[in-house]
Amino acid sequence: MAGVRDAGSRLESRTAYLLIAPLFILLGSFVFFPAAFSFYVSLFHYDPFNHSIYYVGFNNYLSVFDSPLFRLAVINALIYTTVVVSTQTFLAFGLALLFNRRFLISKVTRAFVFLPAITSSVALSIIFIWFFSKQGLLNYILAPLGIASQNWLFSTTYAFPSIMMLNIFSTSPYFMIMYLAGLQSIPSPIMEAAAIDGVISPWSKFRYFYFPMLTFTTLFVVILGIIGSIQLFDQVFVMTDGGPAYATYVPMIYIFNRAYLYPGLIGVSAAASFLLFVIIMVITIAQRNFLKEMKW
Amino acid sequence: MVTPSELFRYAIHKFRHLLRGNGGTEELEINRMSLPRKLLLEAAMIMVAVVYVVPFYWMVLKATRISILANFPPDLNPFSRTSFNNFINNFHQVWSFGNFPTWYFNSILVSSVVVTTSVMVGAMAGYAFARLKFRGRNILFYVVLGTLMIPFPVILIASYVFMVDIGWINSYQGLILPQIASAVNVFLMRQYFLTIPSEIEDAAKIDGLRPWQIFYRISAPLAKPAFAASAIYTFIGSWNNFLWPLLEAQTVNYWTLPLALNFFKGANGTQIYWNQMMMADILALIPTFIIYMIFERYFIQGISLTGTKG
Amino acid sequence: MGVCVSNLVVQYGTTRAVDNVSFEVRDGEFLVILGPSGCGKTTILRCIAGLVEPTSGEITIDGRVVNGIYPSERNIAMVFQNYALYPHMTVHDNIALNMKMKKIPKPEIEKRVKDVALKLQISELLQKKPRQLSGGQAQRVGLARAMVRDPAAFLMDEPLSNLDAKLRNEMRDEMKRFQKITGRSIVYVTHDQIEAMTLGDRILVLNHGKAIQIDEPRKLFDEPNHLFVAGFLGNPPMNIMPCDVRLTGAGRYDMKFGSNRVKVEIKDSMTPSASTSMGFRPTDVIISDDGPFRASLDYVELLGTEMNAHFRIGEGRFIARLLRDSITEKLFQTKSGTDVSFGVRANRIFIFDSLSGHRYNALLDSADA
Ligand SMILES: Nc1ncnc2c1ncn2[C@@H]1O[C@H](COP(=O)(O)OP(=O)(O)O)[C@@H](O)[C@H]1O
Ligand SMILES: [Mg+2]
Repeated sequence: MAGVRDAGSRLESRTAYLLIAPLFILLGSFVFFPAAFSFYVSLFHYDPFNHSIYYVGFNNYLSVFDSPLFRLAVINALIYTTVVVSTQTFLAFGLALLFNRRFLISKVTRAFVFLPAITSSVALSIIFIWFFSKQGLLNYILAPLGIASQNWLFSTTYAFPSIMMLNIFSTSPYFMIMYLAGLQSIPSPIMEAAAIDGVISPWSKFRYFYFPMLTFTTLFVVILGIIGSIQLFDQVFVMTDGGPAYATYVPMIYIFNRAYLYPGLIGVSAAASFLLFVIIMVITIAQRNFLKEMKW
Repeated sequence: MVTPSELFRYAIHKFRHLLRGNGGTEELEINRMSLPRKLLLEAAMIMVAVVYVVPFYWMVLKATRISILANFPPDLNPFSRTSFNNFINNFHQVWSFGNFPTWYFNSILVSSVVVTTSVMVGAMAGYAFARLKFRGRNILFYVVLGTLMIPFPVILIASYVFMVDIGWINSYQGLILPQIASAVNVFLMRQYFLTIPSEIEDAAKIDGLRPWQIFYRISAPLAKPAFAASAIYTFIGSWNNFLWPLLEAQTVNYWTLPLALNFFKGANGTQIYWNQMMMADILALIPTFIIYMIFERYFIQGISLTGTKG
Repeated sequence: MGVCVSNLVVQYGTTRAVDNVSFEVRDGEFLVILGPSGCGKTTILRCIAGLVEPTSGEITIDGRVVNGIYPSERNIAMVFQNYALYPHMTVHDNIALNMKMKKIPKPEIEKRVKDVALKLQISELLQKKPRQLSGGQAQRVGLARAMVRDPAAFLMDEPLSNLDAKLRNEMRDEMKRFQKITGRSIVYVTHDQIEAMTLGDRILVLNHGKAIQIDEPRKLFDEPNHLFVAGFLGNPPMNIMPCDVRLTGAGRYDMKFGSNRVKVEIKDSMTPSASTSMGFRPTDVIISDDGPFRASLDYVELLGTEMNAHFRIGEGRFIARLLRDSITEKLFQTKSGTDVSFGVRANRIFIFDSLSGHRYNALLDSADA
């Protein structure tokens, strides 16, 4: 817009800089600086508590690579992400289709389904510690089926699936809202025309309209789901702290422990966080290329 | 090419639609639907709702029991006279446990400061990006959106080290400041300001308002729904934030409620006092629940935008 | 006095929204800027208001150069197409805001708000919010908000475009009354030629950012000095027929369209090779057996008391807007493709340069088929 400025443009741009200044001061101090600093730290043996700081090059990265624990954590995270994201996306879409009605009852019941979205992950985790505990609801439900009661979170086989279940339970409503928004943005004349064309059964509506029209919502939900899942921390920390026997060990626990429990390993922690960053980027870019193929 | 910014733009697009609330596909179902089918659907909705309510119902139930063991047969009525007495009793126990009032106060303090500042900072910047012309506007806006690409762990460790270095571990400013800058709030505000016809601001200029007066007298009052939406989910996000306080608040004096809840889990050695834990959960839930009840509409609008949750 | 715009240029990237436009609005004059959508009307208005800083050019309001001066300091008021009322303020506060900003004492504000409300008949609306108003009421409030400031000039950007047809007619009268009671200069932008013709003391016709002609409505219609004006004004607009030109003597030319010939004397110079068009208004066509021209009838449309007869001459087409009488009525029975003789009212044929659009100063000598 060369040459075209509002009268009083200096007043305007000065106001603008004043208005964005707080944001950029905060972003600079608490986002950009830490991000850069994090890379710097990852190249050092960095122990701020004992004032022992020296350059180690890429050794931190090498030790993360060499760590079987980190590898295990990444594999766990990938398994977790695959299961949780696919299930919750499916469930969210299903719930949205169910609740996308103008019944009074749908408004009321919907409000209950959103409850996990406002509950803190710690509180939810605690409720689910009970759910999976020996005296908990899960055993109560399974008892008639003749399944012996046990504390599911103490089992190396079932602890991780239990956490998956909790997260599917609590994040599905969240993504359901996005699908609801998507469904409501389909103009009703389109569905009326479809009805006239004989698209009446719920399945054909889903197959030929809702699903293809909400492809982008689906990909959005999937990407957000992946980013959230790979960074899983709160629930694992509260419910199992990575155990039993590393069955629920995930990268964020690895990173957290190295920063928090072993101050001498902060550099390693930073290096691991960068590797996690790379993994997230790779997945995001892969998704992006996938999206590029699609016309929407 | 789909970048996070486009994703968010898309989300906002949906969000705007929700804001206006003109009915979509849901409307046409209703006339044509046969009664049995309608009843079937309603039953399904109720079942789903029950599944979602049960854990919370149980939370309330446990908070109205005194015994740490499950009764047999279980007493499922949380509204009896004894239940109420137990509830009060449990409340006293939790409230006088450790520094519970302090933790509650800390949570309220941190969240309310984060909400007010974050929403204000977001609104100011969002307005500038939407309406004011200045050199570097587009680049700076992409810089803001770019922060969405940086995953939290990368920032986390260095922020922690930084806080240690400058001695802000165990401080309110250390708890609050890193939570304020929110690209999502900026983006939401900007999108909302863009929907306000620019002629209204032209008229205000002719009426003698300066740019900042247009912002706070004309545009900001018109953006109330956007303020509400971003305030609500900023509040919930901050109230429930666990990981940052976990690193930052290392002495009990600076704990927030999620840390306290986690502490309750292991507070009594091996014996788990469900009644107290659930009581604490309830206390932590009350403010978000009240806000949710009042502003459910805005909350849902906000969520369809923010996407990820702790 | 009034508003003076000289050599105004506004460049948006590669598009030149306003291209060297100059004009003057006299004190108390109602000047209409007319042109198709996207031709730069709004941009000119916004330059005068100070909402857009021109790339170059000077704007004078009441004898004072206002370039770079903040909009509110320019002593103008603006009325918008979408009313641009402040949605969160009552009608009263909408009107009063400007005076509040000027720190005018409250009793004075109240008095002036009441005053304009009375004049524009919106007194009962003062406590309402904009969304409770109908389109016509909202625009009245827009006018009141502008009027209360008693500016040197009013700038109005298609103020009636958002109203339905019936209301628009009513509000047109309102605008006339508005000019009378305010007595100020008005710059009024529209793409509606009826509005322009009925309201304007003078009309500035704009196309692609260029000022084409500025004249009184009657003169603009009767003597368009540009092909664009001829083709824009009138419904249907002027018929334009491409012609072959031959020089026959000093300043004398032979023009042919189809088998028809016109001999003209052109006072200003013309290159015979240049592509040239002849124009005449549909209402100036006379059907008569001794008319000098011939064209083949295409079809006839009945409008009521009038009719549109569509003709072809070779590749060209034109329309005749005719009153129904014993002669023209016969056209209904005439077969499509039949040759019909016609004439054009004396001195109502215009010769244009097809490329530049410029109208030649031409005198008709004779015509025949
Ligand atoms: N802010 C702007 N940025 C870029 N181009 C613009 C801007 N405003 C107007 N234009 C362009 O300038 C031309 C004139 O616009 P405008 O004055 O609004 O036309 P009108 O009011 O006659 O319809 C159009 O081609 C339009 O696209
Ligand atoms: Mg315009």
